[in-house]
Amino acid sequence: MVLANYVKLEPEKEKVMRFVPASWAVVPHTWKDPKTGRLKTGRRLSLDVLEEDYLPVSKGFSTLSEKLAARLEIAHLNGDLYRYRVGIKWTPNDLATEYQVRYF
Amino acid sequence: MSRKPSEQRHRRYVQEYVNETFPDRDFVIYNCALGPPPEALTRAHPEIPLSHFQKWRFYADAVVGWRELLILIEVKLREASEGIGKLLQYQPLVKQTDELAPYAGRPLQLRLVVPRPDPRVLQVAATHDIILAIFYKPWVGEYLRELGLM
Repeated sequence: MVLANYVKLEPEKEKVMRFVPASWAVVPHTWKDPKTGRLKTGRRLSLDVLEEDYLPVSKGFSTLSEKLAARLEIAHLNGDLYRYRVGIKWTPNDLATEYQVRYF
Repeated sequence: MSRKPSEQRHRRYVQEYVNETFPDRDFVIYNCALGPPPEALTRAHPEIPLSHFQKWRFYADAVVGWRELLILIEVKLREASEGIGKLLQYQPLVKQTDELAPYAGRPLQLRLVVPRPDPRVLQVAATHDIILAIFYKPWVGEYLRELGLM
């Protein structure tokens, strides 16, 4: 088991988290595209995590996915992101990658 | 951090509808993948490549657990009539969705959410036991006026 201070999504497996209120941060980010080897610039969303799969933790969660960030942004603005447990299921598939998000 | 304005409007609309209509819900799943996983579909239809089922999965806008009901929601800001076909196609897939298996005993309700009434859509929806919910927000009205649709 790899020890890490961040929460990692696994394909087709729901990851359940609780986020620290007001920890939402979007920052510019540069990374090397693993396919083309070129430098890419974009934005990274990061959040502090209080609970991972029902266990208390002190970790971070971040994503470069605009698709996921846009989906979470609405819940951030209306408070759902911090009021509920959030289950994120990642279905990787190049440009057709999807994220299913459950609030409960 | 929005991607395409049209997609973000759609996401905002469905989340506002769910929050205002079902504040006491048990759960909500947005962008809920429906039906058997792509691998199972490929086993059943070996003539069709796996990539087809991976790329063309069906996703419901929302599935809500509320007062012993399971509610399948499709929202349409513009083309209301398209939502009926989607709901009818998604309906049988709910029972084949692993994640929704714990709620299999709950009656399933189909809801099409649109910002303005259309008697033609209402009539067809009623024929198929689909609830047509009218959910208007001022920002949606502005958007439709911008498009010349209102």
